[in-house]
Amino acid sequence: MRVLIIDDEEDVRRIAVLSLVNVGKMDVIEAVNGSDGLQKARSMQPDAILLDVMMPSMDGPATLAALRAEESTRHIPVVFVTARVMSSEISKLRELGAQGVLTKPFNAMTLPADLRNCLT
Amino acid sequence: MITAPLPHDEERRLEVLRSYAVLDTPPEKGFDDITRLAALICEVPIALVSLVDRNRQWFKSRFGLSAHETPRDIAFCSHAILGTAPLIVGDALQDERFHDNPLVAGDPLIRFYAGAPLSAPGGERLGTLCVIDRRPRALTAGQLEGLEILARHVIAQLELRNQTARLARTARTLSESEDRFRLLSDAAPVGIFLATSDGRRMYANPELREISGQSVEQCFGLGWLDSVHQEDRSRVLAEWQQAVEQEREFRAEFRSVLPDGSERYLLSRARRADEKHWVGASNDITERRAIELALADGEQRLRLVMEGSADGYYDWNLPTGRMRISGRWESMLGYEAEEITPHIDSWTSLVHPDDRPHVWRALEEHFEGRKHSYETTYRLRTKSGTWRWILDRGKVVSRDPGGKPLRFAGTHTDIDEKKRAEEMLDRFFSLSIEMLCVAGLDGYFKRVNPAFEKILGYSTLELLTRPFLDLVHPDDRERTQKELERLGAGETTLRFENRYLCADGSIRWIAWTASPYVEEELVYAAGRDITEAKLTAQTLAESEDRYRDLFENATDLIQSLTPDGKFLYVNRAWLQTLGYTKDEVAQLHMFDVVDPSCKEHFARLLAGEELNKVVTELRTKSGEKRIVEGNVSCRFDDGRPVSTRGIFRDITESRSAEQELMRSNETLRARESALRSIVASSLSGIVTLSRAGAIASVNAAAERILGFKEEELLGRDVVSLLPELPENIAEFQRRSVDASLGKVTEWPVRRGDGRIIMVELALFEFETAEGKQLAGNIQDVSEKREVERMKREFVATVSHELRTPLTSIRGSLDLLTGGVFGQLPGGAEEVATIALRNTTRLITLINDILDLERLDSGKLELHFGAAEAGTMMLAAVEAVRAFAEQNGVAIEVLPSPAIVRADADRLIQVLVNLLSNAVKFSEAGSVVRVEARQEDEELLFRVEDHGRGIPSDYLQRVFDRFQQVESSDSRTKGGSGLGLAICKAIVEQHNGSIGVISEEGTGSVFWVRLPLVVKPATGIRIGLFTSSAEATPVARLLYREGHDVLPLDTWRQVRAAVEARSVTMLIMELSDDAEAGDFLSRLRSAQMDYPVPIIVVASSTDAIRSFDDNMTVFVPRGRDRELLEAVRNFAEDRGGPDVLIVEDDFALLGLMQKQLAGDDLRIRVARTGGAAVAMARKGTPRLMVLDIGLPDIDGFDVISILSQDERMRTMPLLIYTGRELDDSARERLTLGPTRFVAKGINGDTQFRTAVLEMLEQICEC
Repeated sequence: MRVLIIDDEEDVRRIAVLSLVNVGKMDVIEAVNGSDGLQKARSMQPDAILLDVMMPSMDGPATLAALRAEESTRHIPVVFVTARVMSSEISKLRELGAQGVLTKPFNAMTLPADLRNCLT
Repeated sequence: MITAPLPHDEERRLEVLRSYAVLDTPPEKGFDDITRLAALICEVPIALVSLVDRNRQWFKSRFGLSAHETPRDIAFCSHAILGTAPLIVGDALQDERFHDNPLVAGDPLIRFYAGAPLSAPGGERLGTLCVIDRRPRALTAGQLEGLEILARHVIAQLELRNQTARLARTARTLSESEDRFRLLSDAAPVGIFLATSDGRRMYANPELREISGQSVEQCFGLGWLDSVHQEDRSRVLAEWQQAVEQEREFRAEFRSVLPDGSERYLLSRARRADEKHWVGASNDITERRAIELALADGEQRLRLVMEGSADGYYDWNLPTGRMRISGRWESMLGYEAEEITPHIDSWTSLVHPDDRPHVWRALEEHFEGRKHSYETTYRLRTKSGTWRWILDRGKVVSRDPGGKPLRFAGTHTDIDEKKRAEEMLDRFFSLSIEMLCVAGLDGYFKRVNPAFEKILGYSTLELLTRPFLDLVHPDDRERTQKELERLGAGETTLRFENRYLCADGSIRWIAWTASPYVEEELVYAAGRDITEAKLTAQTLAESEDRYRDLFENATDLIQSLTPDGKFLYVNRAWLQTLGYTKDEVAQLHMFDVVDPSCKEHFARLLAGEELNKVVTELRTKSGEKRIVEGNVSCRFDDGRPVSTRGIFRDITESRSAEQELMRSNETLRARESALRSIVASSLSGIVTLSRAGAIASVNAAAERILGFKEEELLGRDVVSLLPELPENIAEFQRRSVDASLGKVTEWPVRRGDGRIIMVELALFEFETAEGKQLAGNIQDVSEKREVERMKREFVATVSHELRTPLTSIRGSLDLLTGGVFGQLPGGAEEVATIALRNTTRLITLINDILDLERLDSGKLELHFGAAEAGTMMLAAVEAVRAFAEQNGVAIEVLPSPAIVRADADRLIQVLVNLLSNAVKFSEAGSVVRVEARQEDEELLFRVEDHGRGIPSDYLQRVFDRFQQVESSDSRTKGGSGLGLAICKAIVEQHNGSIGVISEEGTGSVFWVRLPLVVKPATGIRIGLFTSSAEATPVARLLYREGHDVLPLDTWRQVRAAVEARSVTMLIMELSDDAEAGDFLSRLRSAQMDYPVPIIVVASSTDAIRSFDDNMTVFVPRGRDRELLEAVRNFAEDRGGPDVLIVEDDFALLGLMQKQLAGDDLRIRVARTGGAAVAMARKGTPRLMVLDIGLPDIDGFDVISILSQDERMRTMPLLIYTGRELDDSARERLTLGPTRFVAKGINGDTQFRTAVLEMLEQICEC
């Protein structure tokens, strides 16, 4: 399974990569912001996208909208990762059309399983 | 050897042989004597009776031979039976048929044989009587004859044998039949006897012996006569002899004397059975005779009574038409005895022609059996030609086998006077202009006179079919009901007044006099329309009230005096000012109060002068003087003074105030300057405004805050300080002032330097000599608001800013301790684990702080929904399971059916917190218990542990922030100290409460109470009685719909809920239908005055069928839609339905409802015209579907009643009938828009289409 991680925080991205690769045995592509992520999603066609919510310029919801607007990326399931934990915010994110919402700080040992759960 | 051929009749022969049943029977002397004699006669050593069977010859008797039988093919006899004459074989060795026969060659070495055939009566030869010798020889003629004779004897012997057997059989049969007969006769309940012609008895059965009291011996011969009563004996005997002589049946009734001397009546009958014998039966008729005698006696007496009675009596023989009539029957009509021909035609001619039809009808109904008895009233013509009212009652007393009446008996009662009195009353009743009625205590008029119709405007039919309370003005209903109850208790009503709603919408006052007739539950009442009088009185009273009110509330002193100086009236201000009470005033004379110097004024007043602007002094009760100024006048009637009236103003104060003012001015000035300096130096801004909103004064602080100089502000409209001007300044001002007075409000203000700031304004009102003014205390809160905003933003960013680095830290530690990079060296693993644990703790702390901040600021949104107590407890337990297992603590959960409106996630958070605390403080091996139970209208959660408890001095503070019990136990550490504070905040946001009961050393119970019923979304509160211990699908369904559910576990709770009216309806969800029935009957028999609708959810209707009324509805289990519909119907019962279907055919009704089922319409049904009217009145339907043929009043009546009601005159109507309607009928069947749809003809969809179209048209209107 190939996962695209879009997060502007390098450390967080790194931990997620380590977790998905080592624990989840997945292929991982990294993107450092929304537009980078959009372009990589288009060219690499990942099986799933882990998308950070709070990012400068193009944030998570904007990125999701862009992904959904494009024919080539419309079908890719997206799971948000957010540091905002209010239930109203989480349900708002879900309503945007994401397959799931994971909260930060996530458990690196269970992240791959949590991601898979969102996709099924 | 030659074998003999078979005789020609072999089969028949064998048959006859077998019929003697002699083969293989033992030897018999008769036959043995014959063989012996034959041997003697023929001088041979062997003689046999041989019977030739199919394959053998068998010897019935044998003399001189030991063998029983020999084969047939070697038998000599086989040859002998071929002819009728005896067969003689002189020497067998010389005979070719036998010379080599084994019986000849061997034993018994036959040489000589002579056999005489045994011929049966039918000629069949069955065998022979034969003689045998072992040497050749011949028989003499005599010997041969002897043999033949003996052969016939054998046959005779066989015949005899046969007969004996038959006789034996017959004897057996005979004895059985006799047994049967004896059994019958022994058990027969009638006496049976057998006698010879001369009367001697040969047999008597036990019953006869019983009823005649004789023994077996006594009965025999002529002994039975001994039991016959001496006086009857010769008669009975003579009767017997006659019967015998004339060969007819003997029949006699006589007395039988029993040994104890008592007598019984017997009826004895006998018939000739044969030449000599008579068979007879005797019955005991003692009782029958007694009854007959009594009847005869009774009838005679009855006749005497009839003759002497005031009623006439008749007995009519229908086939002949003849009658028997009593003297009274005739005298009632003025005839002499026997003057009238006693025939039905006489009667017929006397009946009033107008009455004949109903009299015939009544008779017919009784004759045909439709009426049990005949009763009617009619007029009969008297001798003098006048008419007399008769009450005729009677009954058919006998009918022929086909049921046709034969005899009819009856009585005539003279009811003429009564009837005339009734007629008079009726006339009085109908002519009275007073409203006269007979009303039932059941709330309906039984009879009303025409005055009702005239005064109230309703038709008599309608008055009789509507509960009369409906017609009473709603405000008077309760009073009227009470009055009715008084009447019901037997009291009389005198002048009870209430208002009636008339058909034309007007209201009329009726004064009632009524008395009850309690036994019949009736009230006789007379009412008078007193509307006019009432109105006049009311107008007067109102005007008086108005003036009195004016006087009473005036601030001036008002008094009215009689010409001799007594007080007639003083107002409140007068009493207050002068300090008297009303009672005291009545005792006063005017000059006790008014200065005596006014005597002259008073005299002038009475003389007719009007005095204006008089100033005088009045004395108060305490002796003070009040100076008053006012006008006085006098009212005259017929030139004589009746009363004076004075209106005065108290001017004492204004007079003295003038002087006072001068004195206090100094003080005031000093005080004002002090105030002025306080205001000037105040740190908060103070602004005064004119009522119009112009700034009147400002202090230095206000100048500073607003950034304007005083001179720039004075006179300026305060609204101009707003950054943006409202469109309608005056309107804005008025509203703003109303909204802000007495409160602290916040306004944006544009300062002199253009900066916009937030100002907090406390606006108040004060009064000066110039009138009311406004003053505001203002404060610049921009900075404060900015800080608050920053704090909020800080908290929001903390969430992100702290979590992001924590994500990396935690993730790293997860991966390290998770062994992703291989096993860590010993020390490193421990350190990494510590780091991970503390990171987790830090995250918890941050979460808790954020939670609390949001709870404080009200930003934590609660998502209220139906939360099941049981589910929440299980979820919470699941969350702490691992932690509990780690600590060796068991958690016990008790199930609960309760559902609360709550944020389930948040409540789970509370329970998790309480549970993990409980686990934390429990010893390994102990149990933590969590339960939820209902207490009144609250849900109580309890989390109980058996840990070490909480010190009492600490109990108060456990819910405060950052509180932890000081302890050396490392397990208690690790919490943020905020958990219980968060719990408290969450519970309080649910309008609940939280607390703890604890004893040091034994454990703690943390409890949470939540209101079980929170303001329901639909306003519908349902009491749910269920036998389930857990939340049921029904409860969930109701919650989902936004209804509130109050679980009721016991009968007591149900009753309490109904009586407190805390539920809109009850739903019973029971697994046992019988239980449902039991419950319903209890509820209905409890006679609670609040009739609560009940919905029963069960699996069959049987248990509740008898409770089927419009307050009880049955819904099969699992039909959610129907259940919600039923709830809605009951809840909305006050409003009208969409469609009211009036149809009496149950099946058709079901079909119609089914057709409309999918259209989301509120449908009501009525099956009678009366119900239709009542239901339409209760809530006007949008459309009424009406059938014409109804069981009580028909569709025409329904329309005519409804058309008198303003609200219903325009109701859309769909006439759905099978009748052909002509134009005039159609015209009568019209209310609002009306359509006609014929039943059956137009097909199924026609009805639905018509309903939907009509409803749509109504919407468009």
